[in-house]
Parts: sequence; C-alpha cells; structure tokens
Amino acid sequence: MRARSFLHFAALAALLALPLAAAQAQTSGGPLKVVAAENFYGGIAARIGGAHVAVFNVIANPDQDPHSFEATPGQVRQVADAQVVIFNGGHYDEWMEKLLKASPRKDRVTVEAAKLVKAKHGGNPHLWYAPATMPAVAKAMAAAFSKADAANAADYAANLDKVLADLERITQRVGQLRDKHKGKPVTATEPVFGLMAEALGLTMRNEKFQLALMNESEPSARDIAAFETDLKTRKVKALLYNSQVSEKLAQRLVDIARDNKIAVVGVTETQPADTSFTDWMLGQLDALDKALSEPGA
Amino acid sequence: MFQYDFVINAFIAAGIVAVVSGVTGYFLVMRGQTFAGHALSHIGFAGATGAGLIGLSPLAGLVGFTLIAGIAMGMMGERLANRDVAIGVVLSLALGFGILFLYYYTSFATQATALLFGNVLAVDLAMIKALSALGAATLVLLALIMRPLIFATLQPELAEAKGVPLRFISTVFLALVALAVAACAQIVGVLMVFALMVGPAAAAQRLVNGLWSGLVLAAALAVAEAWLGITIAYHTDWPVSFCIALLSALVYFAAAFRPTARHAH
Repeated sequence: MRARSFLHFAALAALLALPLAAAQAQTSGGPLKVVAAENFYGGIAARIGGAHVAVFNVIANPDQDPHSFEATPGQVRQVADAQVVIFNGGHYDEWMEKLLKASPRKDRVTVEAAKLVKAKHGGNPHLWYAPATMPAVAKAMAAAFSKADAANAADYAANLDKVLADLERITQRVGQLRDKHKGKPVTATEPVFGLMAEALGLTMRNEKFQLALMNESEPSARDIAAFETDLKTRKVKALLYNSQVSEKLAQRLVDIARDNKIAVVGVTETQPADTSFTDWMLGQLDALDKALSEPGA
Repeated sequence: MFQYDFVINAFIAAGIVAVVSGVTGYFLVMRGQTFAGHALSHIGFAGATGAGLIGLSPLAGLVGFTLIAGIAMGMMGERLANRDVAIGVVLSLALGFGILFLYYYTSFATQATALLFGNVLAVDLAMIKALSALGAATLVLLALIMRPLIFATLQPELAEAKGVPLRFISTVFLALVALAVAACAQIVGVLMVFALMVGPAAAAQRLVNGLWSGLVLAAALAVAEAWLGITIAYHTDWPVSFCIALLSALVYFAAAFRPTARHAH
C-alpha cells in the first residue's frame, strides 16, 4: 500500500517537473554577457555596449519590489555566467552582493553605483535619482566593458560619449528647474524621488513619514496628522507619490491633495518599459515643472 | 546543472539545513510545539532592526532576540494548555517591538530587512562553514539532552516524579530550536527552514513508530525534499522555497492519507 502512495507522489513530482526550461549554460564566444540588477542600469549598459554585449536585467518588471525579492535559479544562472555585473549597492539590492559571493568568478568585473558616488551608509538608496550618479556609472561601465573585451574598446568609448551627452540633458534641465523652483516646499509619500528633489533645491517635507512607509513600518499618528495638515493648509506646492506602489495610506493622501487642489506628480522606482532613462527622468521633471508652475501653486 | 558553483553550494547548504531541521523538527512535532517553531522563525526580524538601532550587527540581534524569545517561551509555559497562549503573547510582543524599532530607525532599513530574505541560491563558502559549525553544535547539544527530553515528552508525570527538571529541559530545547531556526533562516530563508522542520518530521511520525527509524526517516525525507526542490526549481525557474514547501506538504499529505497499515496478517 505504501508503494502506491509513493507512486502517486512520484507522478505528481514528475508532473511538476514537466515544463522544463532546458536552458543550458553557454560559455565563450558570442557577445559579452552583462547582468544589471535593475533595468535603469541595464538600459544604459545596452547603449554603451551596443551589439557587442547581451544585457540581462534581473529586475525589469516595474511592479517588482527590488528591496524584497527572491532570485529564481534562472536569474542566478545569468549572474553566474556574466562577465560584467552592474548593481546599485548600498544595501538597496543586497541580494546581488550575496549572489556574486555565491558564484565567484575571477574574470568578472563589477560596477557598484553606491561605491562610485561614495553614498553615505544608511542614506537614501535611490541613487539613480541623483543627477551625478548615472554619468559616473556610465563611465565605469565603459571601463568595465573595455577591460573584459579590449577588442571593442573604441566602440565603447564612442558610445559612452553619446550616452554622456544624452545624460547631460538631464543635468541641464535640473539646473534650469533649480533656478526656477529653488526653495519651494514639496512633500512625498515615499523617498524614491528624494535625491532629485535635493538636487532641485526643493524643500522636502514629511521625511519621517516617507521612511516609515518605505521601511514597511507604520507612520505614527503625529506624522500622518502633520502630512494631512500640510496638504489641507496648502503648505506644499506638490505631492510626489510612488505610482508603482498602491498603498492605502498613500492613496488617501493623494485623494486629500487632489481635494485641496495640490498638484500630484507620480514617480516610479524602476524605469517603465518602452522608455529610455533620459526620457523617463525628463518626463518626470516636466511633470514636476508643470505642477510647480501652476498659477495656484 | 552541477557545472555551477551556486548549485553545488545550494545542495550542500540545503543538505545541512535539512538534517538539522529534520532532526530538531522531529522532537518539535513529537512535543506538539510546531507553533513555537513557527513563532521563533518570525521573531528574529525585531531583533535585527533593534540591533541596527543600537549599532550592533543585524545578525547578532537576530540570533540574540530569537534566543531570548525561545527561552521565554520555554520558561513561561510547560503546561500544555498555556503553551500556545505563551507563544502567541511572545510572538505578538516581538512583532510589536519590530514595528517600534523600525519607527525609531531613522535611516533606510534595507540592511535589516535583507536578512529576512536569505536565499539558498546565494550561499557562499563562508556561509557553508558557518552552517556546518552550527549544524554540528545543534546536533551535539540535542544528543546531550535527548534522553531526558524524550522521557519528559512521552511520560511527563513519571519524568517529573523521577526528578527530571521538565521546565529546564523544555527551555534548553526551545533555545536550541531558536538558535537553529535563526541562523538557518538568515542563510536560506524563513519559509524553507519551516517547511523542512515540520513536514518531513510529521510525515516520518506517520510512517514509522520507532524513535531512531523516525529520526533517520525525518532527516532523510528533509534532505530528499530539499534536493528535489532545488532540482525542480532549477528546471522550472520557480522560487526554491515554493518548490520545497510544496514537496513538504505533498509528502505529508501522502503520509497522512495513506491507507492504514494492517497489523493482522
């Protein structure tokens, strides 16, 4: 009798194993294998590498929360095979640091944004929102590609120049908006946009609330009351919210802001599909500019 | 798939965790304390954030906090009727502290929370060494308290009359479980530890009667589920902890619903 129940079990196990993704590892030859922890770094990597690199983004789905995330075997395999790995660092994507240690590889080059911009320990980890970060990461990527694949170094250098020129549009726009809106008070439901707001010289209010929401703790009653007062008395000119996260408390604040005719600007943590990093950033800056320039603001 | 270091590391780490979980889980199930195991696996979070607040390493906080909770549970309720209540109170208090610590945590808590999401596919050599040491220590300690533990579990009245310190044994045992759970969970993830702790042990108790055969079967089932789970995950690209939790449940249900063995011939 016992044998039969084991057979049932074995049949079930076999069924589960059916959808075999028979992807075998291939090494040497072909394009340079690059893995980016998040898609915004991967996008820049693809432009610098051009046809010489194959970029795999671990977090490409905008709805995937990069803080808490369990890598699947396929993703780990990509990391193990990659010659260049790009990630944010600063504990934002600590899983990547663990994966790198789990698959040691002597010829692998890593690019860590937090190290490049000397991010403060425990500071805001959304580094790609600081205008200085991406140019530094792009330069490090080009250097890493040239090191791993010296034959195409000239192409990487040429592509880097184009990317840097493109990123310069963001820096210029930030400078422009800074002159226009410096010192204006804004608030946000989450600290995603924090470093950009800092670069724009905006006064960010309710930071404690934002931390609590991002850390998945509970903002205190006093924090929520202060936030609501800011909106109801129109102390802030705009409310930035993370449009990738649907959170009841954040949604309620968005509604209060709309009722009080405060401009609401949606920002996203990861890059939406079908857009480039520069267009993504400029689009958000335009929306913010529009909100802050409204006559009532 | 074995051309990858991470797969080999995952098999070694999962094997160690499975043996430790299977064996400690066997006693946990025998004593009817699976809820304690579950609670302990979730308590470490508060310790990890609390340690961050006072500048200690999150790992130290995780292990320390879980250990304290295990000892508290052991001391509070030896009587069966009160035991679940004591665990429930300690669990909710610890989770409450976790929220409070996060509230006072004025920077980004990603470092503390990253601890909770251990992944067996991200185990390196240093972690395997730590796991081996921990696994060996757990098994040796368990062997030392095994005789009085079994006596106190199966015949508590008689054991008490014979002078076995029930509360002390229970406390040492839960402290041991706490250590094993905390350290294993931060390396391979909470869900995987818990799935390997309860499912195989419960199935083994249904399948065989002897203590030793039960212990061996529990450990063997846990290892088989862990390795098969990783293999299935490798080929389907599903998360590993899902595959292992599923196997654990399937084996348990297969054991629970198998036709009852006939004693008469």
